[in-house]
Amino acid sequence: MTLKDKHAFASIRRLGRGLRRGDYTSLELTEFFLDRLQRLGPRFNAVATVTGELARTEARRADSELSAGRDRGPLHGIPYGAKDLLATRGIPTSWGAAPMKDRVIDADATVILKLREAGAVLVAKLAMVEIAGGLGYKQSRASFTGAGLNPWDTGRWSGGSSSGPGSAVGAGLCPFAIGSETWGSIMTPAGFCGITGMRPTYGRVSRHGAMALSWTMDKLGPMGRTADDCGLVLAAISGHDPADATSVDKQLEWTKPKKPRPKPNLAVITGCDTHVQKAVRKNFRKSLDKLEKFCRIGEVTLPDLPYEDVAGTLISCEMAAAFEGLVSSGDVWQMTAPEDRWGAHAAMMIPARDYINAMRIRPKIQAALDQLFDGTDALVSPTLATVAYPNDQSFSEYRRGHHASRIGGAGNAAGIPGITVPNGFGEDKLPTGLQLVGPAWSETSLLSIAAEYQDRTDWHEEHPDL
Amino acid sequence: MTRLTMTSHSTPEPVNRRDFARTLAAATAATAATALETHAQDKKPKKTGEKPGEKPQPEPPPPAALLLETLRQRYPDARLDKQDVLQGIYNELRGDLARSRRLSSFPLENADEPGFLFAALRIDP
Repeated sequence: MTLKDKHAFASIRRLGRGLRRGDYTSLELTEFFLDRLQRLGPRFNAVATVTGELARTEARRADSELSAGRDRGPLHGIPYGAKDLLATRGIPTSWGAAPMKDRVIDADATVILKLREAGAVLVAKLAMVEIAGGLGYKQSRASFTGAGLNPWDTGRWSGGSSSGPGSAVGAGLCPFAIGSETWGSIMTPAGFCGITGMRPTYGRVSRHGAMALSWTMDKLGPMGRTADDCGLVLAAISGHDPADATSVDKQLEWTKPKKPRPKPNLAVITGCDTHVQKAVRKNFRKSLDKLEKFCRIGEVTLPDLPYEDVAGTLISCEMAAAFEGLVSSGDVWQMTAPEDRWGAHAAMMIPARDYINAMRIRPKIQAALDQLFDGTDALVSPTLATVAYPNDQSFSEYRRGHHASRIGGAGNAAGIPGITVPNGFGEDKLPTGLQLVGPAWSETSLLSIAAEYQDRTDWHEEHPDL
Repeated sequence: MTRLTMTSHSTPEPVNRRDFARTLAAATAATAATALETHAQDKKPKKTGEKPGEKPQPEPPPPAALLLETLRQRYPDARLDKQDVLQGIYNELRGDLARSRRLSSFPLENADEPGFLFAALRIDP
């Protein structure tokens, strides 16, 4: 069977069915995606390294195991990409930064090992914003691989810092990818590229082997075509890892999409669609109409707490400690974005008192948000205030006057999970997204609500004509 | 352990503020030129109560300028001395100081502990 474009945008379960039916082998599937990565990847600056040799080895193993009757589960034989901040033995891990573009870390991140154990096939290390955006980039040209370009319009940004995972999944270069979020780095590229992305609860997924931007804020999570895909991937990568003391023994169970029962209680965040683009608001309200068919919807006001100050201080201070060597060695001057060359300096001067005060306020944020979820399963809002930014403008210039709710800073400061699903198209026919945020460890509930929404809509089946 | 005796008012040695300001202002001349330019835009009106004939004391550089000079000494690099770079860092420092003031104004009790956990360690032999 010849693999066609439709396979590039197929769900994990659909690809798995074809594999088990014998329509194609894992090696054929892998060659199909390797070809797309090589042919289309450069169009979107989506790829740091194509891992052809490793991929073929893993695919042959998957095929021989399936032939021998060994099935490792839903990810068996399925290709995927990993953001280039995950260590991979024998393959460069660049963190998106020019000074490290040829650096090889002689170990595999736990997430890579878990996906290998689940039978998945690593086809590419995917591009990212240098140092995961921790140096304060203000425009899209902030990686040695070039600006992340949006598969719906290459004049627009793919979002960051998981730019490669966003555009690669969006362009059908791999069925799913692993991204990371410290503050917005999964939700933004997933939203801009019209795919589904999940930020898990802090501690759900081991960070071992991932670049540390902020030890207490970093989360690794799946980016895929559907909520079900994200559930399958999260089930494979979650759970305790002795190498990461903050990882928790809570492996997600996700065998098939569950109907959310009883009717979930959702709450719209007050004012969340006030300062957004017109089409973002229109799509959000249409989404609420869909959600109302199977959820109760109320409204809630976020408590007035210094979410952004706390999240910003924690990230700045932890980044300053993690990357002081980059500054003192002078390597930071090799960064691609001019503002990233000096963006870490100011953070070196933040007093310890500020960091500790931010850490003292953090439990109050956690408690206030947790209380907000009494009787509420998830908060809903537009994922982003605008569609993807043009590459020839600074971020602040394009989004002037627009802002989404404060749940991004709040949710990341509190370490609680969120999911974004595509919910339509806005200005210049670019994707918009719907975001659900739940209490700690509520991924199953969020995934179920999102999966039910996707059962009732087909936005997740839309893809760019490449 | 709760410590109630901590104070921020004790100064180990008296500092001649005028000399300090003059010395520092000279040392930071290049850096502060950038900083003071921005500072001047939002400088507050002069304090009232200056006696006639009294020589006005030189204004100390703004806190962000002091931090900028400390930064230049701690991480010396000629590339830092470009006008746009200095201005960018100076703006960041001012933002961080403003954020610091907001964090400090958040009502915290003495017993409000940081959100990270520390535990004594004993690895079983």
